[in-house]
Amino acid sequence: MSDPSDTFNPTQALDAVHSTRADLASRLDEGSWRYDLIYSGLAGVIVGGQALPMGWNALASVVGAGALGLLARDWARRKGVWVCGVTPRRARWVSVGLGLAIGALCAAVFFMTYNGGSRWIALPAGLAAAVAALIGSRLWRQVYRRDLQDDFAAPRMSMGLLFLMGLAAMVGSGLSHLLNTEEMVTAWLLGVGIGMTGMAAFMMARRRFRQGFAR
Amino acid sequence: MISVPQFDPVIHAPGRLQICALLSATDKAEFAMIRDAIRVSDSVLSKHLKLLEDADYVRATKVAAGGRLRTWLTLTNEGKRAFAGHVAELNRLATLVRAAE
Repeated sequence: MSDPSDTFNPTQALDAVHSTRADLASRLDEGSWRYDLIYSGLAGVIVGGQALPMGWNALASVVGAGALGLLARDWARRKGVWVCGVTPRRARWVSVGLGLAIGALCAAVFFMTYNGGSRWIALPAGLAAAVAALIGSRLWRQVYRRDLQDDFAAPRMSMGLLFLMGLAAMVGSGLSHLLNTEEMVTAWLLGVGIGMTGMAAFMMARRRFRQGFAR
Repeated sequence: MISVPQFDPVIHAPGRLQICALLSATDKAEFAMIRDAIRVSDSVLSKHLKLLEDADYVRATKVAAGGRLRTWLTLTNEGKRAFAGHVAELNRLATLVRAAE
């Protein structure tokens, strides 16, 4: 019997890696339009819901976020794969950008209606959010496909990034309640600033930690 | 991050290389999906996974869904590092082979 290592061919092994990943990309593309359309509709509901009276807007956010969670869970169950939006190295920045855009639209609708603006702002803002989410979602898939082709770097930091993004949102909303209503925008920006600084500190510490191990 | 090229005998086998290629591109993947994707039987996949789990490259979690247990698999940080190093080594060897031809 011949030793398999005698016939080892690195090019064939690399081809196997690439074709396995290309096959995965094709599997994930099947039915993705349906997912992306529902996802963008829910993003529109969350943004538009910020124009509702106090309490109802929070309910719209919770229901919208819950529905997004169920959508992702159902997708994972049907596909047999779970990929968090911020896990892939390059595609994560599409998720972060989309998150910031949706967050900014939510804040804009909330502050405008809170300061006496028309609640009809919900319609164009919700539509803008839905379009942004659809474009962002399709773009994410395109960038993820590219990540699948040539990104084999390891390991990743999705959980740390998620934690810090959540922390930024919590600090921002906490400060908003502590400060006067006139200063809510400042408080929100301060919260995001603290979150971003924390994220940068985390990334630097992580790099130092790795370099220490490598020596 | 650039990975240090290092040949890994655990990942080297074609089936395990494909499993790692799949898992490294996801947060977690289900047993049945991997089995269908790499076209092997349940028992062959179980054997590959056992070796990867013994090397601490893969972690399995069983989740009850729809009245049955489904096994979800994750590549550990150790596994991600080993796979990235192995692919870097494959790239290095492939370049050498091309240069020699």
